[in-house]
Amino acid sequence: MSRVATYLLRIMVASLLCAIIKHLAGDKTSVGKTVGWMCGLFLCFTLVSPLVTIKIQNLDWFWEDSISQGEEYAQAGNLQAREELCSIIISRSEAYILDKANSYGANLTVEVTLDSAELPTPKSVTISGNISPYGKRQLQNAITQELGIPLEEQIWT
Amino acid sequence: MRRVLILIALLFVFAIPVKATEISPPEPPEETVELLPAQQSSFGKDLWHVIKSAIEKMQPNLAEAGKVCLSLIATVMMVSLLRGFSANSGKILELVSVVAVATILISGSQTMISLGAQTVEELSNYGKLLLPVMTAGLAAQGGITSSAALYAGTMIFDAVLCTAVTKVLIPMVWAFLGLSVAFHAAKEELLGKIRDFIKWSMTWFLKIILYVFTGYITITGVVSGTADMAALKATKLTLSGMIPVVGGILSDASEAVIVGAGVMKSAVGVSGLLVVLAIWISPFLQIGIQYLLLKATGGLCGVFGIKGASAVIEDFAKAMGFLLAMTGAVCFILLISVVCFMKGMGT
Repeated sequence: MSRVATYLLRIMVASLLCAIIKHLAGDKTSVGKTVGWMCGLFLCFTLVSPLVTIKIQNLDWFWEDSISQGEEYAQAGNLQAREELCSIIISRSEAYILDKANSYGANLTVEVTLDSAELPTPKSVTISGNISPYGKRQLQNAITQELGIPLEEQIWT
Repeated sequence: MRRVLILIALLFVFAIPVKATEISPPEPPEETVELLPAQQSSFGKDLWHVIKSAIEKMQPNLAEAGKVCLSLIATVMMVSLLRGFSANSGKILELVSVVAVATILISGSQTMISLGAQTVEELSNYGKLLLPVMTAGLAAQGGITSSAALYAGTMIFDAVLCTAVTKVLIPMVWAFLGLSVAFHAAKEELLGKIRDFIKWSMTWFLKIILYVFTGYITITGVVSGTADMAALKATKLTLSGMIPVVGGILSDASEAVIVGAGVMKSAVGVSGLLVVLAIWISPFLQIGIQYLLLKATGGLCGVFGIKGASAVIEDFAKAMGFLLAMTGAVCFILLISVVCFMKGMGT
């Protein structure tokens, strides 16, 4: 039985006891009045005494636990969203380069990597396949100017 | 061939993938599966399915509750008849009627009280599975601060309420019933006053916790929602200052992630709302019917002039009312919280 249940049971038993004693003693006689007063005192003691012994524990952990858990789940969601964002950016950047390469008649394979900034942007690209020197120059320019990947981060294999 | 390749490449460029993050609803508790629709359609239809199934499931309990009420009426009628034969033994008959009525009601009430406690626990357990998913969903949409604050607040209020219900309020309901029976049997005013105090404190506690929760949700929604909105605006500003093509790709990708996460979060939210309602509705209907039947029986018994017995029946009805309030409060906290998660930032 929990402490609260015990406390409530005590109150119930005490009230019942007081009620029976008061009933037997009656209200009008002086004995009855004294008994009533004593019963009141006894009930007060039963009600108050367990409350005095309550020790308020440090409740900070409770709040901090919930906050840290909330932050943990929020971070997990944010991380998932970021992974999704990265995969979309990579696939769309690669598609953009492939589209450009196709317009120069080249059939390439492209692998884009992103930086680790808050808002991920294309950092480097590895390009393999055959392309004419003119097409390569045009593609390098497009990648530099439109995707922001500098020439030294464009690896041709 | 070349044209086909270009077309495929262009499809890749212009297609906005709406594949969202892995946000899926938690498994509903076994008992609720029969109430939930096999396949989700519209929220209204699904809700009606849940209510309809719960009502169908409740019919045997209704018959049981009806039997209890009939036996109560029969008891009170018997006592009333006996009082007519022996006018001098009124006090003893009153005492006997109170004890008899309490004895008839106690087992049914025990079942209802256990049901109420179990429902509160089930709701809380499901909330512990659902809220992390909703938190992740809202965070994926950019509401990192609001989701964490909303989660923390809901979990704290839920934990406080559940602990209070199982450890304080349920024993208080028993104490209320015990004191009520004792008061009507002994006619001692002191017992009645303590019973009223217990009733007042239970009502007060539930009211206060719901007021504070609603206040917390409102304030948190405004404060943390503003912070998240500011962060999103800052991101948009950064995007607008980027090289057009990269900026366009990033903007579309962010939009796709936000839309995808929103869609998934809403789906999880709707499913979660239905499960929460499915957990809550059956016990609510059972306890609610018991409450109404006891209220009606109490009123009916009053006609026979056995005041003590009818007052005891009404107090048992009030105890059912407390159970309704407790389960309702836990359900309310979860529903409001899920709706706030679904609504997103600035709730």
